[in-house]
Amino acid sequence: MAELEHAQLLAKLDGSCRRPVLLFLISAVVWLLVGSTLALIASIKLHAPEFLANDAWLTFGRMRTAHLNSVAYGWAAMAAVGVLLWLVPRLTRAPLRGTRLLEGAAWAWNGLVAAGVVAILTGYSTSVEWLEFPLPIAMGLTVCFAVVAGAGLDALHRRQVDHIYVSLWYLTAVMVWFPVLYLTANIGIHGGLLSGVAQAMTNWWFAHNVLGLFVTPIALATLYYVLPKVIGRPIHSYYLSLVGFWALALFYNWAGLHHLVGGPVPMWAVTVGIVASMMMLIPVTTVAFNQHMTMRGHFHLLRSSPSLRFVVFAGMSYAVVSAQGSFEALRGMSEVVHFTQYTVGHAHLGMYGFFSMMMFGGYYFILPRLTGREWPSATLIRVHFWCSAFGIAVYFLALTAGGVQQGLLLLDPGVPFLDVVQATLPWLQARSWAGLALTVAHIAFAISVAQMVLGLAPARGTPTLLAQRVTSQGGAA
Amino acid sequence: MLYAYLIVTAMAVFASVAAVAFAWSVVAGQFRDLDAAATSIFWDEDATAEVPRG
Repeated sequence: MAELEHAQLLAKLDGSCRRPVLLFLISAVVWLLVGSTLALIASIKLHAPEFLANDAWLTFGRMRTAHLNSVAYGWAAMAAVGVLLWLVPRLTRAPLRGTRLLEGAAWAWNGLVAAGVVAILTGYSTSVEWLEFPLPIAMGLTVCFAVVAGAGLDALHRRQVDHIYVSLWYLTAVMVWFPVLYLTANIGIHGGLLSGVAQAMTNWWFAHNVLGLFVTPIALATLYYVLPKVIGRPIHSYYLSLVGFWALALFYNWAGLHHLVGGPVPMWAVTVGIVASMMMLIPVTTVAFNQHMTMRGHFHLLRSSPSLRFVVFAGMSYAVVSAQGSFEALRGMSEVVHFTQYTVGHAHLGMYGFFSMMMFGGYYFILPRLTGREWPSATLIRVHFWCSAFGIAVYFLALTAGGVQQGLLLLDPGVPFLDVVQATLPWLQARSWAGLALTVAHIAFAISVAQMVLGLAPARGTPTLLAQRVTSQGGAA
Repeated sequence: MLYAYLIVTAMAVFASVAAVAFAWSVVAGQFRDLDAAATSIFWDEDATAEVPRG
C-alpha cells in the first residue's frame, strides 16, 4: 500500500514539473551548442586574428562576449533552473504549481537570451562584464527567474517533510540570492546609480557571486542528491554537509573584491575579499571530504554509471578550482597571474569542469526518469565524457602553464611585449584544440538528448551503463 | 571612500540575512536527527534507479 502511494506521489510530482523541466533542459542544450560555436570562433581568433575578421559582428570583442552570455544565461542558467525545478518537488514532496507560467518563463527566457546575444553581436553590449545584456533584457530575465523562484518557494512552503535536506537548502538559497544579486547589480550599474570604482566593486561582487551563489549551490545540490542515490548510500557526514552550506552562505558574498587587487580601491576593502576567499577553503573542504568518504568502497561504480562519472569528476574539479581560487586571490599570486590566460583557465575549470560536468551528471540521472526512456547509446555517453574530460584538462593545463609564463614575462621590463604575445601562442592553439574536443562532446550529448526527447530512445527497462556492473565483492550484478 | 563603506556594508547585510537564517535553522531543529535526514532522499527509490540500492 505504501509503495502504491509512493508511486502515485512520484507520478504526481514528475507530472507537475515534466514540461517546464524538459523545456529548460532542452533549451539549455541548444544554447550549449550555440555557445560552443561562438567559443571556438573566439578562441581561433586569438592565434589567427585574420580568421573571420571582415565583419564587425564577427570580431573577437563581440564573439567572446556573445559566447560568455550564451553559455552563462543560456546553457548554465537554463540547465540549472531545469535541474532545480526537478529537484524541488522530489525534495519537498510537493508538486509544482503554475506549470503553464513556468513554461511561459522558459520560452521568454529563450527569447530574451537570443535578443541579448543579437544585441551584443550588433554592437549594443553594455560593456560591463557578465552584465552585457541591455537593461530591458536583464529586467525580463529577472521576471522569468522570479516566476521560477516563486514556484520553487511555493513548493517549499507546502513541503510534506519536516527536515530540509541539504540540497534543498542550497536550492532555496539560490531562489532568494540570484534575483537579489541580478536586480541589484543591473539597477545599480545600468540604472545610473553607481559609476567609476563603485561600479567596478559592484560589478565584481555580482560577477563572482554568479559563480558562488548561483551555479555553485545548484551544482552542489545535484552532487548531494545524485551521488547518494546512485551508490545507494547516504552522505558520509550529513552534519558536515550542513556546515559546508552555511559556511558558503556566510563567506562567499564577500569574496568578489579580490578581483580588484591592485585597483584604485581601498586596500582594506580588497583585503576583506581576500580573507573571505581564504575562508572558502572551509566549505570546499567539507564537500571534498564528504564526496571522498561517501565514495569510499564504491569507486568501482565509476566504470559503469554515467551520472556518477560526471558528478564525481565535477566534485573533484570543485575542490581543485576552489582551492586554486582561494590562493589566486592572494596579492602575491594575483600580481603574477591577474590579466593573464591563467584566470581564463581557472574560470573554465569552474564553469565547465565543475558546473557543466555536474549538470551533465544531472541530465543523465533526470532525463530517463522524466521521459520514461533510456539513454540510446553507451558509446555516445563515452564520447561525451572522454571528450569533455580530455578537453577541459588540456584547456586548464595549457592556460594555467601559459598564464604563469605570460605573467612572469609581463613582469620583466626587459622583455618586449611582442615576445610575450609570441610566447602565449602555442598555449592558445592548445586551447582551440581543447575547445574542439569540448564541441565534439557537446554534439554527442545533444544527439543523445534529442533521441531521448523525440522518443527515439528505447523505453524504460534496464539502465544504459558504460560497463557491466561489478559488485564491491568483485562479482557481476 | 564612502562608497567602499556602503558597498561592504551592503555585503554585511547580505551575510547577516544568512546568519539569521542559520539561527532559525538551529532553533527549528534542522541539526537534529541527522541520520534520518540523510536517508530522507531515498523515499522515492524504485526499480528504475540507475544502480539499485543494496
